[in-house]
Amino acid sequence: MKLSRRRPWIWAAIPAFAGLFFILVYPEPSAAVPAFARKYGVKCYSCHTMPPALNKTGYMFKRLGYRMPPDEMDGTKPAPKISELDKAISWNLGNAVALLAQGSFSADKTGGEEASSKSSFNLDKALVFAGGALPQTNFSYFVEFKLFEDGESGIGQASVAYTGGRANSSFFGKAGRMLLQEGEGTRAAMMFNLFPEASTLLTAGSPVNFSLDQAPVGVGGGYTWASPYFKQVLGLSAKVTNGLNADGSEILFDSQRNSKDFWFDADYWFGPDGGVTFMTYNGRKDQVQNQGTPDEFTYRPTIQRYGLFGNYLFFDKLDLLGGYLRSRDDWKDTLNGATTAFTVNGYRGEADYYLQRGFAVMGRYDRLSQTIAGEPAARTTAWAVGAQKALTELGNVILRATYSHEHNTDPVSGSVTTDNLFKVDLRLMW
Amino acid sequence: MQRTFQAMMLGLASIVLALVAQESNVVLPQDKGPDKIDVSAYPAEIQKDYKLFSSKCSKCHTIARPINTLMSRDEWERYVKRMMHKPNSGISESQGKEIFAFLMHDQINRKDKNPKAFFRALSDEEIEKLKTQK
Repeated sequence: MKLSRRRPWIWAAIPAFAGLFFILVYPEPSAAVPAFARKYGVKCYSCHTMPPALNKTGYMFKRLGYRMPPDEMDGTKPAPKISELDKAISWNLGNAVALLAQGSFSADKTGGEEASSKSSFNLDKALVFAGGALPQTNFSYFVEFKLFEDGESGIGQASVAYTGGRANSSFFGKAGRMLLQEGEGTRAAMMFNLFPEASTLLTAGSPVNFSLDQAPVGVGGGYTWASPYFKQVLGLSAKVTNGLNADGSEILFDSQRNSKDFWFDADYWFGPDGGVTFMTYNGRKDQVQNQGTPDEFTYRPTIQRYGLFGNYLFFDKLDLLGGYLRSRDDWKDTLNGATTAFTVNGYRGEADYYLQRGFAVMGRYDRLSQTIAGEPAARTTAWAVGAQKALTELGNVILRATYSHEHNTDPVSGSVTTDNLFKVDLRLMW
Repeated sequence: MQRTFQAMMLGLASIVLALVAQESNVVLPQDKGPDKIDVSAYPAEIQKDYKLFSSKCSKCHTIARPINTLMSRDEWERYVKRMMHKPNSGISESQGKEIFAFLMHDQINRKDKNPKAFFRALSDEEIEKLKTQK
């Protein structure tokens, strides 16, 4: 069999899956434990409602530079310093490295001008994670290496951080490639959730090719305050990252445009596991308009996002999530025409019900109303339902089935497409 | 060819890392013990508390861990409070009291009668030592 030179991931995937097979049949009962769970001898549910959705502990763990929030912080004596957290735990490779693989079966039916119907078995992703705190220092690091995801391999994230202060009042600075919108935010604002994809509201692209779903290179910082026993948590974060090129790719090296993107997020967690998030993004990028036609020209729109999100977990069972995102991008049809605006008012609602630990059913609905230059609104609606069950007590092997429907009206051309996707996936983390 | 070689090396490296990761798993002696208790002889109220204990205390760690650990009253009180105050424990104050009631009843009526069958709680330093030995 001749393998294409364009698919070197296949060569990486073969030994990786041989390893996966070995690990699955290896008789050690605690074999499939991801790095952080291994490090602390806990289950995934310590930090996730179900992986990868973070709970308040997981959020704090990340904000403290991958250090476990102390459980005796009663406010009567000074909270421990960041460098004192987990100081008895030494660094080793097993506590720092984790692997994730996901395969799926999907059946996809699209309608519209290019209608199609297809089904396939897929290797969705194979990722290596390395992360954690450097013991007895204030430094931490996180790397996500994609052995394979969406036909690509390479570094997904790589950042180094310094976290100072104490567990109840800390600050951090970090630099590297990091997700623009991720675990920074309460659960309704997180990209990582119980569905295979993030909410349409968070991932939707605009006519100027911008999406919050990206991992740019830059620097960031933040401040975290916590009341005794972390009953209330306030997290403020900001990032300055490289901007984007005209084709939507990231500016990695020198740019005459000197384009930078700014992102800010404020989270407030309250109660057992609820919170609200305000986020905003502001950036500029080159946009090639009417590409390939005699009317082609380039302009520099300003891109803005403002979002408000919230969630509350009732009775440790029912998690209700909601969010609003306002988008505004400069828009220009012709070189000498007026600059108008592309605006979106988007809403999302989601209900996740945890039938038991490691078993959840979920449903969500997204609605986006998009307008260009005062034209009638084009609507995009998306809904999805699903269920997922952890196959191990630790929560590190998860079987999930989802059905999603999207009705999308292109705000520029007015064309309508529909997409119905049924997907069953199996995720292994160890 | 070079890219293929690099990709293969990466794949092989992932296996090594996975195996190293396996070897680093921490299993406390308590985790290897029984994960159930026959509570049929316990008072009805304590049997109810046992159910709550099994449900809440298995969220983050094995239920075998507390079942096979010996502690004094003060130590149990401290540990229950610590667990209660984890940001996502889902254990309310009244539930914490019920869990403590069960643990104390079990300590006195089962563990104290045969302490050699159980393990005392390990400190962070002792757990680290255990990992090093492994």
